[in-house]
Amino acid sequence: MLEILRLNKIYDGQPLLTEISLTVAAGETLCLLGASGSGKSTLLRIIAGLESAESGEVRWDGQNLADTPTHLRNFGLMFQEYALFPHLNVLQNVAFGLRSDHLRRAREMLALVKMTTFERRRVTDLSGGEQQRVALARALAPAPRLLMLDEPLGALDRALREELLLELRQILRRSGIPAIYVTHDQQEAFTLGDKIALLHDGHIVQAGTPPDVFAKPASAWVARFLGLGNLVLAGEISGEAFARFPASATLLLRPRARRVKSGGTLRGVVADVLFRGDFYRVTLENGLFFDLPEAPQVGEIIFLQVETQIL
Amino acid sequence: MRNRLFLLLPALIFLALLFFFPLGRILAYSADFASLSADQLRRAAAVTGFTTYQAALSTLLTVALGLPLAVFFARYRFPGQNALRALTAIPFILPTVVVAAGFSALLGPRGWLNLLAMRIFSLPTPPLNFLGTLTAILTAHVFYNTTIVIRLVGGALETLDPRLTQAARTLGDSPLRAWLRVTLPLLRPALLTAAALVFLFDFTSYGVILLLGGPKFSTLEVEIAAQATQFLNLPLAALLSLIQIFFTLAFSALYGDQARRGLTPVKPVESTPGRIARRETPLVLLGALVTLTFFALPLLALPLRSVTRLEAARGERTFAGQALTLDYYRELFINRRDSLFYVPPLQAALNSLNFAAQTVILSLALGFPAAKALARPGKLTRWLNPIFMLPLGVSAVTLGLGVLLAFSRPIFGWKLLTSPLLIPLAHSTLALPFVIRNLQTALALLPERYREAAAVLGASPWQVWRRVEVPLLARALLSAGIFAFTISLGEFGAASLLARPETPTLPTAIYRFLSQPGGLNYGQAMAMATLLMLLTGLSIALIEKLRVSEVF
Repeated sequence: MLEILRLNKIYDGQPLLTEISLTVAAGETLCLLGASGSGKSTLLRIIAGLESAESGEVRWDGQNLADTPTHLRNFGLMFQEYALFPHLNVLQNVAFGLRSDHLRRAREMLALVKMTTFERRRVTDLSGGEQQRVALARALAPAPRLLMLDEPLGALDRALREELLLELRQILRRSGIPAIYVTHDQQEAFTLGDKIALLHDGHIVQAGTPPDVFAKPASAWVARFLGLGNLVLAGEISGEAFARFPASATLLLRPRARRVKSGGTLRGVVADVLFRGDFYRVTLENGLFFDLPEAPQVGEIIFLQVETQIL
Repeated sequence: MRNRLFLLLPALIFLALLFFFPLGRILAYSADFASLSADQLRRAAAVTGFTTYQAALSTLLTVALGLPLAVFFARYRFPGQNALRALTAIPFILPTVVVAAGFSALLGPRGWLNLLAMRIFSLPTPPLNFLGTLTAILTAHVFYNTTIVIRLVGGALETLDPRLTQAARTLGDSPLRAWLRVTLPLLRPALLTAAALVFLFDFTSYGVILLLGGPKFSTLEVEIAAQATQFLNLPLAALLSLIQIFFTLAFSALYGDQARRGLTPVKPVESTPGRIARRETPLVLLGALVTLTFFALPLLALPLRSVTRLEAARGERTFAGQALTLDYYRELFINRRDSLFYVPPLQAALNSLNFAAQTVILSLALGFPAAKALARPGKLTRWLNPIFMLPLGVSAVTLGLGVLLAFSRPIFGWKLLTSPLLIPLAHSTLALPFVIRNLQTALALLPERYREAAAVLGASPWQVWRRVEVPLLARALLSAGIFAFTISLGEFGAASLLARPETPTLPTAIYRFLSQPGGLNYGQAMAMATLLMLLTGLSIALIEKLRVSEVF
């Protein structure tokens, strides 16, 4: 299993990663979630041995990898722009990391990603989704002991992303290879991750299973980044239910709310109603939004029972 | 860091030995200038004066032809335009001996014009006196370098925002006035860059002066070679070289400065392809015709002359009339003189091919590791890049002289001057900057992620090099290699000082045959120059083809 111990990385004189500690257990997929520039890709590159950290350790099964060069680590890395070799065809790309018996294994991998008929094609002629599949097959072919994926779906359009995401989930589960999946998309992280870790300003601000993180965001930043709902200061919102919080506390009001005849946690004037398919997103005049099954009238005064969490 | 130094070491040692050491020897010899007589110093001053004069005049004429042509090519779109523009670039890539042979074939005493005029008008002597005149030198220089002006100024014209001149027109300027007040000032950096570059080439011109100017004219290059090889006055040769180096460095700096300034981008707007108005049709036709005549005739005259008999061969009383012939090519295989130091011309061609092949191997072996070490920007690169480009600032004749001076005595028992490696080594010095720059660009364009992807997949650094870098750079390597090949094949300045009489190169053999009397010698020179022209043209065409399809 992979252990990262108190890793620090400085880039251009600025700390890029600070005291990062992580573990990835056998068969587990860890999703590393963070905004662009948060150092996610750099962390992957350090694990792969493509870059070195100022301090800290990367360990595999207890052994420090500091002196193991990239090509001897047997970690797979799927690059953001795939980095398929333009001078090799699809099959040759997949077979690149294989030593012996390679064509059979490469073909198996191509079958796994449903690209069997593309064997002889030039990689430069492939669409984005096809390149992504070939890159995945290439990374999986040498049976790496750890697979890292750097925003592998970033360059694809939405429909394709959803389709590939589910396939990826299946392939990762079936192969049993532990994986680190880097993304800025919480949907992807929740779909794929056994665990997720949120990276912000070079720190891991929260790590845990997706339901845990969803239920108990560790900070206002996490709640905002994951789009969990309304974030307000307790002192800036009126209502008896909020009086028990200190005025400077940040509150998370989940959008999931129940309309009541009177009382409830919150009272407000409807400013806007958006049809969202399964529900209506109702925005109040104070800027808070809630999802309701039935549409109220604009200008109507409504009472809501709301889930409130202090962060 | 240590790895990079290790990669750079062979090329650095090579340059130290074959460039900086010879340069140092020139410096040491020129320090001896006190021993020179007043006459000799006056001679040096006169030669410097003439060199500057002819270069300035050539530059002026080149710009005078190049500027209108640049405007012509940028302004009008007509069928065959690209081919015509490409034609103007051909002379630039040809060896000087080929260009000289071309003009000789067209305008020389045994050239088409003179021989035809003599036959038609039954004249006893050639009516047209072209070879051995300043006109010949200037014409060849203009022929050579006009493409620089067309390319640089034309490029600037095409990125020029047309709205600027349009604004001037709405503010009341006539087309001519708008051109003079807006377009021309905006073209100034490009124009000056082009002029500096043209001047640099004209200033260091050697083959053209020697072959077309004849003994009457002596530029620094010609004089250096003459002093070093004929009069054996090494201090004077060294002093002239020093003057030469000073001028080339000064003008290189000026060129670099202007080139950087020329980079200030003028906002590019979709270019306005000029439709040809009816009243402009004659103008376009005239422009195309002038271009075609000036640039195509010398190039055509040469190969045609090499397969045509226009005059009586020696020993023939009467001339049977002109006819197509392959005699000149057949003669290339024959050693007519049966002398020890005389070799059949074919041997010269083989020598040249052999030297060129060795130059390719040497310059790639030295240049690829160096380019790899210099591909990533950094402090090391900033310092070393100019050092590796320095040989560009020194003329081939100067380099040849430096090598002569540096290795006149054996070094560690190694007699370089009699070694068959001499010419390949000297040519590698000249080719190395081009090879390094080409490969450096290609390496910098090669995305790091391919190397990283290979490493992640388990490839060792050696395997990364063999399985990823070399295949991906195959085109760049090939084109750099062909470049080195072409440079060596046509190089005349250094070879004329360094090539031993029994192992001539193609250019030195052509020079030898051109300076000997007789129609047969002349015909053989034509045949060899044609071969050289074809080989060079083929190589450059191959490089262009490789360049066009280079994508990662």
